[in-house]
Amino acid sequence: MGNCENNEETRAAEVPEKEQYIQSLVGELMADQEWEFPANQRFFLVADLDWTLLGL
Amino acid sequence: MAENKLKEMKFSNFLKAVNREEGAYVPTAINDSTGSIAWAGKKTIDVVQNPQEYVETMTGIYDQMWADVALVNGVVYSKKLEEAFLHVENKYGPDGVTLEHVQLSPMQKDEYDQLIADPNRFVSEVLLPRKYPEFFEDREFARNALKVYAEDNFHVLVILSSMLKQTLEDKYGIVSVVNMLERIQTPLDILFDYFRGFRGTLTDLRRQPANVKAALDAIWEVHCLPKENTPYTGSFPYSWQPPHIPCYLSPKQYDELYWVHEKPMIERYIANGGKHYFIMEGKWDKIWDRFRELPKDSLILHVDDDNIIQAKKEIGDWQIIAGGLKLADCRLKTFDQIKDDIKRVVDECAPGGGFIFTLDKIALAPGDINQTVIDAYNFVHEYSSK
Amino acid sequence: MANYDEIKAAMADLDEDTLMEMLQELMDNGGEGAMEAMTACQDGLTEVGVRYEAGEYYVGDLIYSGEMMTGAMDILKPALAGDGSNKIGRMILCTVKDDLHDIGKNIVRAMLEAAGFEVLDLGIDVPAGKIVETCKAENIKIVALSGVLTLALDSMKATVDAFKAAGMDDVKILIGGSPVSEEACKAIGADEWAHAPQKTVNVCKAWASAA
Repeated sequence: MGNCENNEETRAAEVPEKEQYIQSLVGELMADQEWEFPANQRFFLVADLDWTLLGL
Repeated sequence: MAENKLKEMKFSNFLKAVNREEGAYVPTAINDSTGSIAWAGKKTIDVVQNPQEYVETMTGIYDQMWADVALVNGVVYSKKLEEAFLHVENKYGPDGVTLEHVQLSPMQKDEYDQLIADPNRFVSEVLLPRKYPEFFEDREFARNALKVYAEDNFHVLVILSSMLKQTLEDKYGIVSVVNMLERIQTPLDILFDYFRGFRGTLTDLRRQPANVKAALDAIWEVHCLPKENTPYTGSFPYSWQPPHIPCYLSPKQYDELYWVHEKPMIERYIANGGKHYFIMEGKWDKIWDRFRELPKDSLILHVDDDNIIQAKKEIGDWQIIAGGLKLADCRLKTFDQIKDDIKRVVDECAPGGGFIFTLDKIALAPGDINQTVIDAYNFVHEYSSK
Repeated sequence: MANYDEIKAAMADLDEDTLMEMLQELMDNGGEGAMEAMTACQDGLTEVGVRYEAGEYYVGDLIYSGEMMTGAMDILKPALAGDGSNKIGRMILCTVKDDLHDIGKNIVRAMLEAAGFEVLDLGIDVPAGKIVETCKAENIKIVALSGVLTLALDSMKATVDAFKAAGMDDVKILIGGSPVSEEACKAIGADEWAHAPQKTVNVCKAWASAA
């Protein structure tokens, strides 16, 4: 169990800071039940988001 | 139903042309983003929020103008993205109609090491914060921006797109032959469009060619290859590509830095017998012979600044050619003043099939769609009909 | 003593490192011959234009040569007379009304400045009235209008018409950008047109020397 925790921590540490920020926002929004926009229509948030935002 | 018969007739005639058979007439194609909105006296930023109004505005012209298929058609952005993110490159101009591209080029010339080492990290940790500082400083700002992004993309790219497509088919028999979501972007165009911009990329090719090459390899490996390694199972609607940098390159640069990626990307899309719609933005006459390396009639080559009759002669025996109506001429002249030019294009390009008549450039701005364009499309349909 | 033929050749061959090294050496030796070196650079730039027209160089090379020229001017400036440059004229450059594109305009500006012009860049989305008023106020006789979209053709015509209405027939106007052509130039009433930035430079230089 200790090893699993270490592996999760390692994986989390591999994700750089700003990417973690983006992913946490996306995670929140995908799970947001107060947001009226249907959950099954939110897929643009998980489709190559970073690079697409760069090209806006 | 009469509409279905119309669609069947138009589409089967189009398929003959792109499979190099002479049909009953030369097919004409829509090449319009927002030009017809202005023709209807409206603004894009106003109509895009109301799907019904948007579709009526985009399609009303086909009550007067014959068209067989749609290539690029409709909007891909609304103004909400600009309002939400603040620093976008694609924004509506002062006229409220025309989408304009204002390049921001966030990458500095001495940052190639970072890009080469880890393109994804470079994007998320350096370029995105540089381009959208508010997004990373204010979590509420970021949440709102992402909500707008999700809702607006769905609204524009799914709802508006599908409603427009359906109305064109049902009411006018016009099939949309290009899937806007299946698009090729090569590493060099990505560097050009997203990272270093026009001036930066072209001077980097002189000052630090090894870094540019390494950056392209890194972008290919990390960003393009995962998709490239996933077989594409579709064949229709066609994939597409609006290359941006090639017309500024030497043939040698094109071969070494662009074609090397572009060719396998196209091959992936046409593997199941589909075709790839390719906009030859600018002039391509020094490099279009590369397209002989791809299967015959696998490409629909949209001719922009090149001479379309020359294109037909030099590459039109191997790939399908689209174009022939100069948008700038339509703004400056009456139909009678360009009629003979149009006749000549049809006479030279139509025999044997393999030709689609359309505007050379996409109709974007007020005045791009006008009576001359309408008359030209109608004329080609009549003139070429057997 | 600097070898001005080699300076010209380095510019023409787009050999930035060699050029900057030679110019720095000239300055380290007291700066004598700086004006001749500047002239040699400009002659080299002219050769770049010739090679571009011949199809040997491409657009990126023109941009690069403009940057080399700017770098050369920065090195030689302290030793040059007057304001440190050899100005051949003043002119206005802008993107016309309703068009927001500026990449081509900025590249042309760099090349015009490298060729010796003092360029008054009015920016993007510039209405006809502002161009006319600035010309009057600054007594400028050369105007280059840029645009990428087809709507720019209407704005270019409005600008040319505005100059005519103001009675300013002695102002030379060039239109540039992807939608322009010989026919567009005639319909709009401009004096010249250009797709390639090198042509813009050549035309404006000819106008400046005729003035």
